[in-house]
Amino acid sequence: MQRRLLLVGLVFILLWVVLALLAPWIAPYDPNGIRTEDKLQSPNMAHWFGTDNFGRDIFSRILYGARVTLWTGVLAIGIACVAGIPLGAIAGYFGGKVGNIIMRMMDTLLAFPSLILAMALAASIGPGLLGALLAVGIVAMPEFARLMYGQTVVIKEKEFIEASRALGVRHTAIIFQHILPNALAPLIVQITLGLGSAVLITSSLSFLGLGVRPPTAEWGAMISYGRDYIMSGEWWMTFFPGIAIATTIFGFILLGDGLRDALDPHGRSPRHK
Amino acid sequence: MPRYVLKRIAMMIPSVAGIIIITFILTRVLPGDPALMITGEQALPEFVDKVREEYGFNEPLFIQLWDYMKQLFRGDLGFAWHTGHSVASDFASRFPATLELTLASMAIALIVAVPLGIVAASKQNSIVDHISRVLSIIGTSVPIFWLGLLLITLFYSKLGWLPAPIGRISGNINPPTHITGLYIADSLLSGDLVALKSSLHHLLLPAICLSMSTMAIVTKMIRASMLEVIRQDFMRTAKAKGLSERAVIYKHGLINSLIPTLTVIGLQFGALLGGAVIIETIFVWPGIGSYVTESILSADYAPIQAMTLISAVLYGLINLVVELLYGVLDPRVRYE
Repeated sequence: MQRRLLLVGLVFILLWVVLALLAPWIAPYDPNGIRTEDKLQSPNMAHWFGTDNFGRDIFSRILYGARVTLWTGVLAIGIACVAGIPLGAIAGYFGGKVGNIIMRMMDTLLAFPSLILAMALAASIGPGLLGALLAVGIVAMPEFARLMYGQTVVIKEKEFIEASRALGVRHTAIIFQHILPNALAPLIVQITLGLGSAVLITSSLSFLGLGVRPPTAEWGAMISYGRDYIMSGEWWMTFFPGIAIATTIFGFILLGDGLRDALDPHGRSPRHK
Repeated sequence: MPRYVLKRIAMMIPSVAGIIIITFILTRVLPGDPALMITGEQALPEFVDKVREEYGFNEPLFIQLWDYMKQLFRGDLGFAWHTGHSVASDFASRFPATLELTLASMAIALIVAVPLGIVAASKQNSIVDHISRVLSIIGTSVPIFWLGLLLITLFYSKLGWLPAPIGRISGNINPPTHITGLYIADSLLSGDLVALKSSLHHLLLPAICLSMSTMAIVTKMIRASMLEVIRQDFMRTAKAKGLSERAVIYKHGLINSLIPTLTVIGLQFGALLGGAVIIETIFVWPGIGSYVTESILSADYAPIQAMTLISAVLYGLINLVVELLYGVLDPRVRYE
């Protein structure tokens, strides 16, 4: 059952990755091409997912939107890993005052509700994709620092680390060549689940007007454009981008949960008992 | 116990100071001239300079931070120039709307999640169990802003069952007499059934949307911790003593699975505050969430700083209450 869920998650993610990569070849229209004569068409044979208020083809915009969404997620989680993992490792390995200060700072960041912190950061950095992905990266960072800290504290007491120290291996080499590889399994799970949250927060920011700038095709922003047409019944402008966001997050959650069980057969997550 | 509470509150001080410093640095150090934000890009340079002087933006950063701390200590959260009021008065007038929405969402989430989680765990792999899993996955993967718009399309545009999703009460109905600020409570207390009906209609969709992720997480947590508890020896003993299935599950099982669930519920209040920002924007709900969105869109930083600060403090206090409740649920828990 667990393997099947992992596979379902993997299929969803691979599907979106392939669609994103092939977008220029399979998208039937230019995602930003304005054709006012085609505006607000409900789904039909020429426009499978209908068109928006500028006559842009929603199916093509969703395919291009996959590129923006996946890239933003990967870059944001990349920032979170690059900053959070070394901070957690340093705090866990050296401990003491420095470790304490780092971890208290991470706890402070964790004390914010994540969306509110991301909004405050994105608003401070300035609206735009860069602001959004930096904000999401900073919000996700403490999770990685906390996880790496916990792993490092346990692994550094193992005998092989003691042996490396006795052999005179440098601290940085111990951290990156011995501790990090042994902490990879939980980190991979956290990265996968973090990607799901990153997609959710980035699209929420775009929905609120703090993410990508028009006319970039991004799923959250597309739902935001469609919002004004909900009352008059043009449901397709919001429906399809929402399905895209939900299936991507769904894929990452299933993949993350599945990997957790696959990589850690002894500590099965209680959620699937 | 009182000593423990005081100690815990004292421990919150460095964390709150950290939050103040972070929010302050975010709005001052990152790109963007706060004086220009206030005056607008088109303002005359002399006017921008005057504003810079007046707000102390040309002072060294640590002096600005010190002034900001002193200001907060006096209970002054700053001035929201986009509304023309002090942030504290804006918060006071808008807080009841957010509180009503958050409490209603938490109530809906718990009313569904607690029985669903219990039944899912006690009848593992039954149809109810499958429903609980599907609900958990949907609740965590569906973005609430999308769900909100879908529900509006269905219940307002297509079926016409609910009023236009604007505000807390229909425009042609007078709000109930102000007692608590919560429309449902006030209309009940003043016996105003017309206001009660209208405010319930307006509250329903936003509260359901906001409750979704909490419902999913609490269901998952109750199910998991009940499964853990069901396998314990004392549960078998209780059954062997001849207690009914119901008594075993509710009297022995539920109480023991509540501690981990309570932690999750506490953490969820923070998520609800974040979610309120989005839901209030969609449903034009006049609470703190929509106030923050308006502030962000008009680059008004004092309310954003205040919201981050207040939500982090509230979050800390809720977690403290949760910790104190552990002792109520489990007499073995001692506070030192």
